[in-house]
Amino acid sequence: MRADPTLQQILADGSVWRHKTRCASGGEALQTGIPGLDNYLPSRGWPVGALTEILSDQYGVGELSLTLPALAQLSRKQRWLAWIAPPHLPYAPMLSASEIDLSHLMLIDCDQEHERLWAAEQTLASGICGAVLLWPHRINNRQLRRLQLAAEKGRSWGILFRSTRISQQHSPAALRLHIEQNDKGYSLTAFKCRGGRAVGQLKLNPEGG
Amino acid sequence: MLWTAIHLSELPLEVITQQDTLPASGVAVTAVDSRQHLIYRCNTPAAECGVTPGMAVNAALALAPTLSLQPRQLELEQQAMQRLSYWAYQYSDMISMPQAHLILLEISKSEQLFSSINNLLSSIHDDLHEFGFTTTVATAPTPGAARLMAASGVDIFLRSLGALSQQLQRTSLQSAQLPPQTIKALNHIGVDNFGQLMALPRAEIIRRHGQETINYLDRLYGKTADPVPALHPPTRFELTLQLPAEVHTVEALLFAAGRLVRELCDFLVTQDKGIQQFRLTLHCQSGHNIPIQCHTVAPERDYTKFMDIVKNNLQHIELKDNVRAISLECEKHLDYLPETYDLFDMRSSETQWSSLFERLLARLGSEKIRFLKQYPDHRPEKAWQYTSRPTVSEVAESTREKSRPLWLLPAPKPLTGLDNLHFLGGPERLENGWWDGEDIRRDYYIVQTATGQRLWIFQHLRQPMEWFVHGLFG
Repeated sequence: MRADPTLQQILADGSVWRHKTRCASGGEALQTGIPGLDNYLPSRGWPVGALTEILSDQYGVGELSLTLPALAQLSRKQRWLAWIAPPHLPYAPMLSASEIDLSHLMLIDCDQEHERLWAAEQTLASGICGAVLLWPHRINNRQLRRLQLAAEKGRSWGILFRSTRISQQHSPAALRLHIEQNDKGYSLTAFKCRGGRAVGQLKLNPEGG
Repeated sequence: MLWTAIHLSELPLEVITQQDTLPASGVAVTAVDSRQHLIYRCNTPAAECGVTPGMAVNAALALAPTLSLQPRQLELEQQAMQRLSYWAYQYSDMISMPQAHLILLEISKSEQLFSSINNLLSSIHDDLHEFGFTTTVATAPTPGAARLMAASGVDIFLRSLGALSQQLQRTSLQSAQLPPQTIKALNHIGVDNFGQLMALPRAEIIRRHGQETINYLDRLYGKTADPVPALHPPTRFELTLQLPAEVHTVEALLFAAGRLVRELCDFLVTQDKGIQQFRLTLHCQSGHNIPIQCHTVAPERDYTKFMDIVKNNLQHIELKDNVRAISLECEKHLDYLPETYDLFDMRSSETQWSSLFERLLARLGSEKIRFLKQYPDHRPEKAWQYTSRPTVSEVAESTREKSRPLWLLPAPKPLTGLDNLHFLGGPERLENGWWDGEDIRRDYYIVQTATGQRLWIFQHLRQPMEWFVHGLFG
């Protein structure tokens, strides 16, 4: 018979949200590879086995580059990457230069939203995809919850790129980031993190390009 | 080798009586034989009035005026035989249907699975009882003998060739697979059963009745081999059940659907496959059909899982009309990987990948799943290709690639104005492709728009000197 967990244990594993204290998120985290970002995020990295939402006003403001170093890390471990319904053509030479293994990259594009969501669920739950990137047009909370469960089952990192318009809507994603680009670089705000609270904004300088 | 033959002698009658509620009085099935309507089968009340198969319809009506006459329904009979063949694959991998309403199975190879032939046969009997048809089951060491016994209506179990020849001594020649004139000729000389036939000199039989007769006898007694043409299991499962009474409620539909799903699962088990989707169709009274698509997350063949999905789907259906039949079909069979593994987990990432890929292909089609490949060409639009299979990774190009965008537009889009653009990098001149006629001369720049997007634009260096957007930095 398992002993009842002590208060210390419950607080330590991160399932209780504490207002001021930053505690460990309890889940596995993937190093972001971006200087300053690991420290900024309470989970100390991208949450594995959960969904991450990256919100921006439009595509092309640096949201994908943010994830590249971590994707490259997964590629090195020979994990599969699934990109579902990307808004434009991923440029292979640039991906390759960012150390993404093209032989473990799969592009899925379907006309129907429900098929895209089905594909996302399948790849997240499969266990061999390290990361699944999705650009949903319309997705509701119930569907997000299903994807979250699938990510938990497959221990994969689910990334959803969405518009800032939906930032007020509730979402079960473990991490929600808002990214903005201005003259001086990127500005990140993590407005929801499982297991803690991010303080302020993070300013990053662009690394070339 | 041990062969079991199952003969459904009353099938033409039973497919009709099972389906509709007919009066308890005489029922007869009619068939047309050389333009004459004859009685093909009749049930017990009709037989008691004196109606016999082969009789003319008028004569039968004279004997039993209240006789209910039904035309023979070949399609229903074929469907019933098809259901039986799907079922039979549980017991044997060698199934044959050598004559009408008869199915032949080779069961000696399945003996170990059922731990004894008796268990196997009693299991067969139980299943046949559930089907609800009148059957004769005969087991013998040769297929010809099993057929003969079953067709003659003899339920028997003969294990050895010795027991077989003893039984054949008394068996009549009527159901033998010999030409009718041969049987007639033999009857004329007083030979009614196999015992008497085998007593005749062999050379004489050949001379009077042909080599074929002797060949048949040799195969029957097991002296020579009797190859049986096997029925190949169908790749597509399709089954329709006529509902006995018009159904108006979802619960009754569930019961019928349950029978279909049970047979589907048996079929999948014998094929060792699973399915991800199947379609149930409700055939309504008015001729209108309601299709119901059912999907599962992974290939399944579990009865409970399928029934859950069917229940969920049926609950949302509004039945405006009575349903007279329900059918189930599925096409794409996939290799089934059970979820739990025993001792040795042999499932490598390779098999996991192929299992995922196959599932995606089955549902989405191959055009929707693509892979990327790098191509050595300085022209951006030619530096990559789509492939339908993942390719071996290639070494990345020079460090210059850091100045390339993550996203490329399918075709360069004309840029309306250069105002509000903050130039960050460039120009980078790309001049290439003279060898295939699609040469480019462009100066590429990296710019940032007022909204924060970083774009990759170029200026055409030939007249007219237009500006285009080619990519986005993600």
